[in-house]
Amino acid sequence: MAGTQSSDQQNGDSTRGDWAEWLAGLRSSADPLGVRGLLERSARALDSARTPAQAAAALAEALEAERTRQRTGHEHLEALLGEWARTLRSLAPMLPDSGPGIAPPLLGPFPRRQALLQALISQSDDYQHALANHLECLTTLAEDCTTAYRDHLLEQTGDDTPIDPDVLMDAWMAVAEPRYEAWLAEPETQTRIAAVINAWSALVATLRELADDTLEAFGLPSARGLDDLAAELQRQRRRHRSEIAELRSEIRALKAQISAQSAPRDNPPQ
Amino acid sequence: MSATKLKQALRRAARAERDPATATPCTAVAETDNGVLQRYTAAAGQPSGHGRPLLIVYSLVNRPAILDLSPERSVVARLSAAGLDVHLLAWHPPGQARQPLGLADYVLGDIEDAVHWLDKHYGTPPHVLGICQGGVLALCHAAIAGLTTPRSLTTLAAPVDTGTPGDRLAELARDIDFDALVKATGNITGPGLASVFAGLKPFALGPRRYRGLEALAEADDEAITTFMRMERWMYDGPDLAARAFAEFAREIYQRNALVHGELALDGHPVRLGDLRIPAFNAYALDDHLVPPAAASALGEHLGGPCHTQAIRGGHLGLFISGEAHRALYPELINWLATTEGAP
Repeated sequence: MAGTQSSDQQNGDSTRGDWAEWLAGLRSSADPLGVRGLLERSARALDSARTPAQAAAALAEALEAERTRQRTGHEHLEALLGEWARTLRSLAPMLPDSGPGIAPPLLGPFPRRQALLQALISQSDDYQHALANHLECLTTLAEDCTTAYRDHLLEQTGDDTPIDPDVLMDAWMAVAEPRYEAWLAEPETQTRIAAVINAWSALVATLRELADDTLEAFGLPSARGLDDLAAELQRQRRRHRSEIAELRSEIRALKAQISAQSAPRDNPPQ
Repeated sequence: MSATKLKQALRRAARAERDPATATPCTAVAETDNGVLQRYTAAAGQPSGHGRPLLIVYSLVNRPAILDLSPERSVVARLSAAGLDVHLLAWHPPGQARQPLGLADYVLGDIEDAVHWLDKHYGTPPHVLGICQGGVLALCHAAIAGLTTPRSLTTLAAPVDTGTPGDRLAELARDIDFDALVKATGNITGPGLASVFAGLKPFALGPRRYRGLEALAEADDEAITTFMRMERWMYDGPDLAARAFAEFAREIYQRNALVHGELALDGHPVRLGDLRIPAFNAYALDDHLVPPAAASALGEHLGGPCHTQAIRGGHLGLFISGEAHRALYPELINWLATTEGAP
């Protein structure tokens, strides 16, 4: 395993760096679906354009670079997952509940751990697939916008006529914004976005569980332990609130009773 | 766009105070489990509103600074100036230990505590003004039997019926497993949620908004401060308690349980049809977060009278636009006065 890692590092340091950067960008809570990043790259591409031809070319170039980045990232993630699976397979004979020809025992902690590790592989795959699917559609949308942008500029002016960069930017927004909003309104887009979020949730939940297992094995506090404490506090809080509500209700009833009793004295019959 | 002017604007923006005190002075008067009750002080020369308490219940998403962004466009200042004794239930962002807070905790706990406190303190129940998600929370509170009944209820841009066509948030929420999401994330981060909202209008909130920066190079300090306050408001939202977020997304956005009469908090049914206090419902006609149809439906489901008013503009326009301050708030203030005589 260590040897494989070293060899990979020697062969693909630069692209792995790109992948890490790309993935880090997506992990950021500021841009979980990559929309903002794509918008920024398209705006940056238009920065130096001074003619319609330059603007269209710069956008096409930026999108091609994005596609290459996605492709490279996808290949590297495939490779990393493959390594991961190979490692788990090579470790499996050492664990008591697996191995060729051995039926996993029904009892004990190992089947659960194995199931989590197996789930992790399929969940990583699901997440990678859902994310790649979403980004592919987002990039395709951006390409459609670029084509429409080029056509729009050609209609307005010649290819090499110098134009104010602000006008180029205005035209890009006028073309891309309604297309983006229509794309977001498509049920297929919404389903793809939900698939990314659901796949990510499943993957992270399993990762958390494995991390908690490890921490607890070392006698360290785990997120699961903290969740348990929070739930206990919550039970106390709710009991407290319920008691206050009961007291208030009793006070209201008593006040009403007192008021009813004192009413005849306040308003004696004529 | 001139690079020099842009740099100048950015330098000034960096120097501008991003977190100044509220435009209208306020003091903390009571605490609830997850918030603090703030009382706004009327500006000098304005009447102080003893005897007409009003409680603002803000959304758990974002911060209430939008209601008091500048003295000229301050909702709280306008209501205070009309003689109302304005209070705000300012939520504390939940820490990790408060992940299990649910909608019931906010509604049966904090809102009830605040309404009860004002009722006891003033000897009369307060008017309640719920904003956006806070409008839904305030509706739930007012519609649950056995809690302190407000004198009246006002909702601004409250997502009541999320089953109406074109409700983009409801459409996006449709297939998401929110319980699994919060199991993975714990509390939902404010920046994460801000990115979802920005993702609905990335051009308007990105290139279009920031192209205006150049003009700020020579603007007065107040304009820079207002711009930066808005910037902070958009992207520095508080985290949301995991359970409350999942419950709201599932019950309100996926099941549309409020209008279907299927919502219950800790076993207490929320029945809009049983709500008979006077209600005022306002919304914006170009709101992309809470579409007009989602908000305007309220009147159809209430058991009592509901005054409905729409204004032009988007979601934020309800709080900061000139039209809102010229037309909506004077109308609301008059309407609140008419409810004073109501039993």
